[in-house]
Amino acid sequence: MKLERFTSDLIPAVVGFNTRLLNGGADPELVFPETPAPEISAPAGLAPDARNGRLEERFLLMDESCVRGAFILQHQVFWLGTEAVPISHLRLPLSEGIVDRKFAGVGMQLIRHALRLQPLLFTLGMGGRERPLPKLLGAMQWRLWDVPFYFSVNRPARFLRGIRALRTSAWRRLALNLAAFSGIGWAGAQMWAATRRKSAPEKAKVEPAQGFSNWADETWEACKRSYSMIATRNSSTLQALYPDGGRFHSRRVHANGRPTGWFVALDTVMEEHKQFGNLRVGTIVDALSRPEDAPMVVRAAADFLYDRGVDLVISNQMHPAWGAALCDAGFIGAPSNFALAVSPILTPHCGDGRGIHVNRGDGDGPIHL
Amino acid sequence: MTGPLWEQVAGMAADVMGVDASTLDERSGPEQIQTWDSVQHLNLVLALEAQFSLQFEPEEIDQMTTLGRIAEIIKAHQGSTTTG
Repeated sequence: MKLERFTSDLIPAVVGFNTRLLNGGADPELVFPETPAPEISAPAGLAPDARNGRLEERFLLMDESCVRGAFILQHQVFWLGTEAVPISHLRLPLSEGIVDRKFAGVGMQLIRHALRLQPLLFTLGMGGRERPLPKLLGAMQWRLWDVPFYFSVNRPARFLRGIRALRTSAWRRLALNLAAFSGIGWAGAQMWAATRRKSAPEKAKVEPAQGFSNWADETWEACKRSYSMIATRNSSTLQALYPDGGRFHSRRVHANGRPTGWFVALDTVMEEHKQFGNLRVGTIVDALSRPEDAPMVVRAAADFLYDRGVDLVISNQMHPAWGAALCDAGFIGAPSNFALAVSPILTPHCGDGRGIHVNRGDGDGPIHL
Repeated sequence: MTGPLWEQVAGMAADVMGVDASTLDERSGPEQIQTWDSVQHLNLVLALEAQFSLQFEPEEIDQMTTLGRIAEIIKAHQGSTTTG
């Protein structure tokens, strides 16, 4: 088998690959894009001196004219403690071995091919550490962490009636309905709110980010050295990731008379979502400040979403200062299905993982939210 | 196929796949051994790399379709090491 770049003449082969995966019973969400064109453009500052000027590259493992495996490399610049370093996000490594044992070796080949192209690799999400991909990566000496998940309920009755992740049995559904209609849920939410008020830091001032202009570069320069590993979040990157006029709510935060940081939020009415049913979910997608200012930014983001009337607010945050800020703001930790894996050569840059700033703004971005 | 190298490869494959080593021959591969899936393939390759202190290239992993081919690839590695 031979690794080839995905070009338009190979579209029928990719369609055939996807068809075989689906017919073999693979997860319908795990199909390879059937176009070689990058999904996002390459803005200045986001792309490293990109290979062939491209931000994203798609590769196919060809067995004569058939695709047996595929993956995507998305190139980014990360700040690794003291310097900016091009790193790549390994996306969607897919192997026909998951549906046909004849191709059992394809998964490992894909990872080794990707590492040969770029030894500094990471992958994010993956549905949690118990899924096949993270297990495979763990066996290949990649380092794995959960990116913790936090949530806070704003409208308890709607939350209790609507949360699918908890309504997994008839008894649980009954108990949640009782809590919703009896007011127990409301009382619990008031206790959470009291906790939030008790430890509230000084009220921050929030204003629209308006295109993440020069101030975002200043924030980036002031903050990046506080983290051992963080994807570039300068103005051009943020403008590309969170363009004005789209579904993102981007806000700049001031506190104590000085610019403190920013956050990007989503306010989404779910439709038959696997975990959230039809709830209105607020997400703190991305945020940046120095770790010591995280409480103010988190509080500002949560209040912004509460005021919009969401049913609950969620966030995945890896850095302990951001996790602590969420907990201080009344959020509760819950099992995470969002994991970070870094390649063996990248691992030494990560230390014990406590300096890594990763959230739902990284990797594939806030998909399904 | 016989010899110490084959015995080691077959023994490790038997351990990883959970089968009796005496049932394995050089043609044994994923299509013959029910338990030889992606995860066990990975485990076998990693175990062989550790045992023989080498790292396989993706192209070599591609050729590992039977135990006989695996033994040949390891033999080629050992030959290249001893001949410098």
